[in-house]
Amino acid sequence: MTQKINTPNCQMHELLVTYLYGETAPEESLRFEKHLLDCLSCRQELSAFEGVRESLQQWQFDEVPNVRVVTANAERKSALGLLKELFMIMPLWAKGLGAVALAMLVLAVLGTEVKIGKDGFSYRADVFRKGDPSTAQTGGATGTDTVAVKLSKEQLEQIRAGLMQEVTTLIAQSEQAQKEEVKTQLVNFQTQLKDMRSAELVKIAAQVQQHNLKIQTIEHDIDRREGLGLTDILLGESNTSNERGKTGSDD
Amino acid sequence: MLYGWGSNFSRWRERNLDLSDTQIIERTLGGEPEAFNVLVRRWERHIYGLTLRMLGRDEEAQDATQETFIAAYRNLSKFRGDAKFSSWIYRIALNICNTKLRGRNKFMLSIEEERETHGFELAADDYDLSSNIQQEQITLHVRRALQGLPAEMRQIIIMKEYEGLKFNEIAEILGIPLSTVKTRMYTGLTELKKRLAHLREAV
Repeated sequence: MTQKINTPNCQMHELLVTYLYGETAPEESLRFEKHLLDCLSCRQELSAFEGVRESLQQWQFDEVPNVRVVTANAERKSALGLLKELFMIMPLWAKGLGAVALAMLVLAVLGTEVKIGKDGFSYRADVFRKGDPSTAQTGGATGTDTVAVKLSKEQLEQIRAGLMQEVTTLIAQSEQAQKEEVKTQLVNFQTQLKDMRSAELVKIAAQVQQHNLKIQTIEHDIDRREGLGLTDILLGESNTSNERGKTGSDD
Repeated sequence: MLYGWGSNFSRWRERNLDLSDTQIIERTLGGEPEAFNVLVRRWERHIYGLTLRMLGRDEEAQDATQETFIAAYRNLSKFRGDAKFSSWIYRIALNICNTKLRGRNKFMLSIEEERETHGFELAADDYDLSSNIQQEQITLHVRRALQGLPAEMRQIIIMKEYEGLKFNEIAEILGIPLSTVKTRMYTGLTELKKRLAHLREAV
């Protein structure tokens, strides 16, 4: 049987590694096994690679680090929650504008007409009107539920002051709520930081323990070796002293 | 609000251990973030093994493993269901390892790497060592031999030999042709054969 010498001439390296890891199709396996019968170099290489695989498998590990991934809550927030969040991050001027817009919206819904003229402040609320809507436009003369009020400047000032006080109170309340929210968030972050630190400490403690074990193994081995050496010396010495004793007695 | 490593996860895991990786990802993205830690438990040993053998240093491998899972969690929405989760996370881990390897200062080789570059000797056969220590020596020898290979070869050998991936899976993870994977595998094994000959003679 003639044998080829060099694998590079075979051009079989891809097939060789595929065969080595058992990934060849049945017909490829047959073809390669047939080639192996003729090629000493490939046979040697296959055998050497099997040895390499065996050596590589010697590197195993037992301990796996405790991986911890802090996952954020991905729950979908409700529309109300989103509005609340939006309100919390809004600047004060935007909150004020929002309050005014809301007030205007409410008044509009109530069908209120506000007039400030020579005769002072007047408004008309159509919300309780029960008659023909067209008659409401004509004012109090029609005899519907329209209410017309005339206010003096002092009363106007009082209303204005009252409104200002109300707005100020609302703003103060929202600021307070915002502060509370920020405080809660800070406390949460502190707790999370503590958790993360304690996890780190656990990890470090595990590493220290691991190192200690290694040191113990090494110390044990050193002790054992030193022990053997000392025993040899002691044995040697005792033999020598015995021999000396014998020589002395002979003398 | 953040979920930690608490009872929420334990309860969740008990209920959902049988789910596939893809199902767990769907649940994580669908509002059950604690589900992701089931994937962590399922794959941490593989990822740690890959990073440990790529980097050759325990602590660096631990960091790389942690970074891999954090990166995967942050980019989970980018995961495409047409690929396997394992392939995706292996790719992330390899990228992190390669970044760490590139970041190493070439002028500050550790003593271990220095010895690896210039060769080293295994304890003589007649040296009275306990089997544990002998095993440690063998592991160290294999570790150094692997570390001496170029990263592009090393990663293929690790994925094949230790992770048991198919050649086509490795090609997919690395985005290179199948024939290139096999050629690098062959070259890597040839190189290891030379480096480990010492070991085989001694053992």
